[in-house]
Amino acid sequence: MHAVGFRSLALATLAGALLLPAQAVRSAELQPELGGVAEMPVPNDHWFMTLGFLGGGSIFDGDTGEMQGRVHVSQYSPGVTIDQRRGKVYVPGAYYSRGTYGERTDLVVVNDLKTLAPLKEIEIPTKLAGVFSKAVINPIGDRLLGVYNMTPAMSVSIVNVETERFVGEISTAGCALVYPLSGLRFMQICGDGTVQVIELDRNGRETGRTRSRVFFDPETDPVFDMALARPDGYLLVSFEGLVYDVRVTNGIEIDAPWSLLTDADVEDKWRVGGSRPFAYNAANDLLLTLVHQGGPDTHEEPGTEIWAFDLGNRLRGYRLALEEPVNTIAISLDSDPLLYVPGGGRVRVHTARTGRWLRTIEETGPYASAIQVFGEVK
Amino acid sequence: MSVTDRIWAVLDAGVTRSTRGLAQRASRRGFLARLGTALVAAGTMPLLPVMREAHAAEAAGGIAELGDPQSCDYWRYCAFGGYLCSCCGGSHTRCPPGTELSPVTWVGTCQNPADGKHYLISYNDCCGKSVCGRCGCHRTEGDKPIYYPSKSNDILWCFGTESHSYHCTVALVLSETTAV
Repeated sequence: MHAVGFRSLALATLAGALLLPAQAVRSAELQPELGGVAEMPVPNDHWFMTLGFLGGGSIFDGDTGEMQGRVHVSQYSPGVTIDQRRGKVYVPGAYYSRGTYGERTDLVVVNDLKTLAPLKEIEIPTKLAGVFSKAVINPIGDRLLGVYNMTPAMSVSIVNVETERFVGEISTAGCALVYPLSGLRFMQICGDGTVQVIELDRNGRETGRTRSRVFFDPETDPVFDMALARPDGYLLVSFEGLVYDVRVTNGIEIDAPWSLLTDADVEDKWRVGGSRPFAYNAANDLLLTLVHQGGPDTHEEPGTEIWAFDLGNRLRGYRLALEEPVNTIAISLDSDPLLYVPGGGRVRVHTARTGRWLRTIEETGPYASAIQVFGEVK
Repeated sequence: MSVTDRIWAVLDAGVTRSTRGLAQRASRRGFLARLGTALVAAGTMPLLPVMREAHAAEAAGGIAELGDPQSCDYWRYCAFGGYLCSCCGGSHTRCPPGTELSPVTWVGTCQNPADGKHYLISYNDCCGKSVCGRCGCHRTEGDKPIYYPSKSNDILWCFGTESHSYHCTVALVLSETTAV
């Protein structure tokens, strides 16, 4: 079968060659195509990037489902910072000279958002944390980046994206990740049940730090290591479904928590859970969470449903049953948001305010993927 | 390997977490099998709980053992996250050849079904090669978020090693302890 196919191909090629002169005469005016390289259009708020097992960095338009390109990410890049104002993507990564051994180099690679090509490598201490959180890298103010380190000592490397240089390291013993705040400040979640706010000067040097009161018990009901950005602070959700509203203005204010789960939900053993189980849209004050039915210590169990809450009145708007359990969800940040549900190598796109399915984008990457959205908190 | 390999493999493929988990994820196993990678082995796990004598001749302090160290259901793995070194050329206490045992670890408290006692378990990553990819296992008894690292299995724990490339993880009994 194979030999016949090959012979047929050879004959067809020969016939084509014999016909070529006549065709060439008829097509004398046709210019041969040269090919080229596309540039990526300007992203909008419905674009997103996948991050996941066996690579990631693929960029999609949630409105059309079309892939737009791919950014280089290392195997140690759980998140990136997209700087649409400068037209850059900052990708943290760790690299070995022999793949998995040899000399280690940790970098923040500056990529062009139009060509998706690397422009500059900024070397940082070989301490990049190996944790799967978007908050490994985040902007601090308009020209600094914070990169979370763990050796296992905890610290944050500060990078200046204007000078494209590493400018210093700040020890953050007991406190993890980098959650940006207004001004030159960032928040961290701490193992003693508090949050910490660190303030920098324009050169990236620490000018002060503030610790909140203890507001959760990390042993009995820790908050997930996933903070949801609001204009004046962050939402934190505990394993048992308690929502903490952390407002950071001049000080750190934290109201008494409220529960996403009613008594009936608890009776039916519903719990929040997943690897990145929450998504929040500030423009609509809309909180989405993955839920499943299970017992204690199932906080990383994939969700079988998505529940949507209006935080203004703390009521659930809809329940969305999932075709298969998923670990992560994401939401766009604009006023007409899309909900992204990655899993099984595809991303399902829904209207976030209704839960209505819009489209499924196939072949977004093997296994489940996490989603990082474009845009800024509105 | 990388942290993404590890985290994605163990989180998405919680395939081996339990037989209950297997039932929930049955629809995904076809997809995983097509990839022909790491998690194929998980798809061949028996759907009914199986207890058999452990191969654990090297059990610490001669503690009684019951269970299969090549199964995610094995008692020491109650807070495990990663790939079982017992499926990768090592054992549940020894790293595979050519890898390096990380001296810095996270811990869990697990109950041994053979004697009913609770033990403090140290989970040491074996590092310096690409991810093993066999017998992925993720369980979360007493697991904490990454800001509470000593009990968090969502961290790449290859610290103090020549390379922090993740290969697999072993589970060492440190001491008898009380239930938490």
